[in-house]
Amino acid sequence: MAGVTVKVWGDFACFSRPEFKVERVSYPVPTPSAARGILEAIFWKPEFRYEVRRIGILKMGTPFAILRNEVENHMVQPFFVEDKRQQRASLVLKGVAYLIEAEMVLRPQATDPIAKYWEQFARRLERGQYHHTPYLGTREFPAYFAPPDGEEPDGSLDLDLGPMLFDIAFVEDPARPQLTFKRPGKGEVKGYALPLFFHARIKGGWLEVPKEKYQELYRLEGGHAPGT
Amino acid sequence: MLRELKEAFRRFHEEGVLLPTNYKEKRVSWLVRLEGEKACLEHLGRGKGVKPIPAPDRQRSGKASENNLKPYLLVDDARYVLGIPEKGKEKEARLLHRSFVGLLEEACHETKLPALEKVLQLLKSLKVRTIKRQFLNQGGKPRDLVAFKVDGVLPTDLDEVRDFWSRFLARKLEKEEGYCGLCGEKKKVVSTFPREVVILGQKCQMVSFNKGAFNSFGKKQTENAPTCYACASQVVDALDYLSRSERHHRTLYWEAKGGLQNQLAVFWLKEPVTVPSEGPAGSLDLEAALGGLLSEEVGPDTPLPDLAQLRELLKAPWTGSQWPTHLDEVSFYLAVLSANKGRLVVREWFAVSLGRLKEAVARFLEATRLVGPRGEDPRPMAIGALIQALGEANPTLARDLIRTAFLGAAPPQELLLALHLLRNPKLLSPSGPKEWGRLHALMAAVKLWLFYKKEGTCMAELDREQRNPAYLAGRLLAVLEEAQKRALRYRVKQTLVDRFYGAACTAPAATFGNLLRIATTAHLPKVGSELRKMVEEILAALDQAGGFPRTLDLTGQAEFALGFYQQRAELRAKSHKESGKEAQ
Repeated sequence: MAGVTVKVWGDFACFSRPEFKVERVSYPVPTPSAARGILEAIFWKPEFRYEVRRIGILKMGTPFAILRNEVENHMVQPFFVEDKRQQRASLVLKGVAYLIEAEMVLRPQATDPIAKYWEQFARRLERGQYHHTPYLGTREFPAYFAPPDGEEPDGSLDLDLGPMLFDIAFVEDPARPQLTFKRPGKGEVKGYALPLFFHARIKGGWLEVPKEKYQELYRLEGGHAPGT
Repeated sequence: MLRELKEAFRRFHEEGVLLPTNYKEKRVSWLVRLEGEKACLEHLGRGKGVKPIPAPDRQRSGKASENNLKPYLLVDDARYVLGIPEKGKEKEARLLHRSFVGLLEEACHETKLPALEKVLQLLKSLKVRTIKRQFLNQGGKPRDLVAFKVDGVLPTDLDEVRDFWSRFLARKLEKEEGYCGLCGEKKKVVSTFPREVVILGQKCQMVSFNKGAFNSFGKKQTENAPTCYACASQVVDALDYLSRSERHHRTLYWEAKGGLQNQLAVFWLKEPVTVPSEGPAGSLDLEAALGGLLSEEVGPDTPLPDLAQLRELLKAPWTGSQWPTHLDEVSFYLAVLSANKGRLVVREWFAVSLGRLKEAVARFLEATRLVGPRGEDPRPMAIGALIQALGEANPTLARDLIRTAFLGAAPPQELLLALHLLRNPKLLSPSGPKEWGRLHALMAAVKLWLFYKKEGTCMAELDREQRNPAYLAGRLLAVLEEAQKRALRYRVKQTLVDRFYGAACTAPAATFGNLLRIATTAHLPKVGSELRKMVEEILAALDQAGGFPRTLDLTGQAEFALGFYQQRAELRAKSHKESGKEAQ
């Protein structure tokens, strides 16, 4: 296992709550899956996966309401946007900064040592390289990132946030074929997506992510779990 | 927000103010009375004149079809209860009536209640034809609500019926298994929320995924946000109560055409708090008082909140044997809601402890506290009054003011619209009580913008020691106007304020020369020494402060307006007192 720490910040962020993901309302801090998404935008290979350990809150951000014209359907041809207009509100965060601490863990199909991937990540982080633009919850809110610069979260920040989305488990289950996804060595399989939650608490400016939740995720995803 | 609503459900449930699970208050127009073997129809009236009764409710939308039949138990419209069709929709009425009877049969079978069996027997007997005939003869309409009363009792009030309704809805709504996003337990999650809430007259689902673009991972509707039946029912019941209760909601913005512009604020404390107060009651309901900060306009059944009392309370230390312990830690919740095409929109949401809120609210009350336009005692102003006075059709303003009042955020720049409005002579010289109130609120908005973040400055009344040139110039204009009025024995149609306020508040140096020349030659010689002395004092202070400013920026114009208003208020109060003495 190899630990990585990244500082991310941005003008706006929206970590949509599942219950308010249409007329969006953001969680006050990033979910572990949103943090994982940022890391994966910088560097990702199928041979490893990120386990987010904790998220430091450097700037909480202030809630900010916006109203935008969006569309009601997924893109199908032909698509006349004027017929599909939907005005939707979003309660987003303005001016945020976080520290993401995560570990890279190898998956069963990996053959190379983790150090290889860790060093690649460190090089990309240092150079500011990324695969696709990292974003804070939604793609319209890009994230800036850099190696940590010594800035620490506010130690006096303690908050009980209640249940928060942890991640989505893709459970293989032909009896519940809601979607099709790929599994290494198996190709396309049928199953469903199961959202997992954890009780989020910020202590001393850090949102601790329970390690055991990853074990539950791997258990649900069956053979998709990391090697060790 | 849903987690806090779930907590609120527990509080309201303990207080006994909630309706039974998935019940809603409905205004029933017709009552079928079953007494012994007799059945008769009674017309209760229509609309707001009818007292609402709690009745089973569920989410119901779309065109009725074999696959979309959702009758309410025992209380529904005449299409369902009696099969009365709308014009040309006889087939639909038969379908709806069949579904209503089917649901009643299920309830009878499960509860074995004689009252339900009696209703079912009636609907299956020939007597129902007489009831239908009476209904139509008395002008009944297919969409009128009809209920039953069996031997003087509404069956919907029976515990067995309530329990059945909850079980029935759970069976209908629970689908796949998943982790509930509110309680975290692995349970069956609901496919849709049990019922809608009504936000400013518009029905909407709390959690809705009613268009294709909103769904993810092949899931539909509420499967996208897994919630168990118990949690879903509790949050809907709690929000329904909050949006109905006059104590817990205020309309922030409303337009008849509806839509996203309209905004409703709902608020509550984690637990009810009563604190000692010097008022006549000896105690103050903190929740109601904080609601008064949003708007002082409340319904006839709710006591009028007193902002001055709240201000006194916030100034006092929260200690003593009568005070609740851990008061600082009690949370205050506030959400601003709108409805958008059947979906609930959260425009603002925060949870703040009373300890933190106390400072922000005290500062807001102090910053808006201002003497009345006719010299009435200074009083703070509610957010609703400020918005109404500004007449600004900007829903963001309401939310920004809420953040200022409860969280201590900087006041919105839109408050300065008041300066623009004050240049209208009609506003500066009000005629009726409503207009006087508007002027007061506009000046309170100006004062809030000026003083919110300033330490130690209150200026609720005229400050004679103030040496700010803009403030002094404002005062001078008020005195010169008074001199003009007195010289012309108040028989003046248009005062110098009506003509020169705009110029004086933007470019005092260029305007006051002319005004002073007219005053010293035409007005001041005809009035007593009091006003002359005042003019001299103000001019001396202005000299010390560097003379008339050439131009005034927005801050300067705000200070000018405040000086003018406060000086005018004092002059009015004085003349009111003198006229009172003369009358005696």
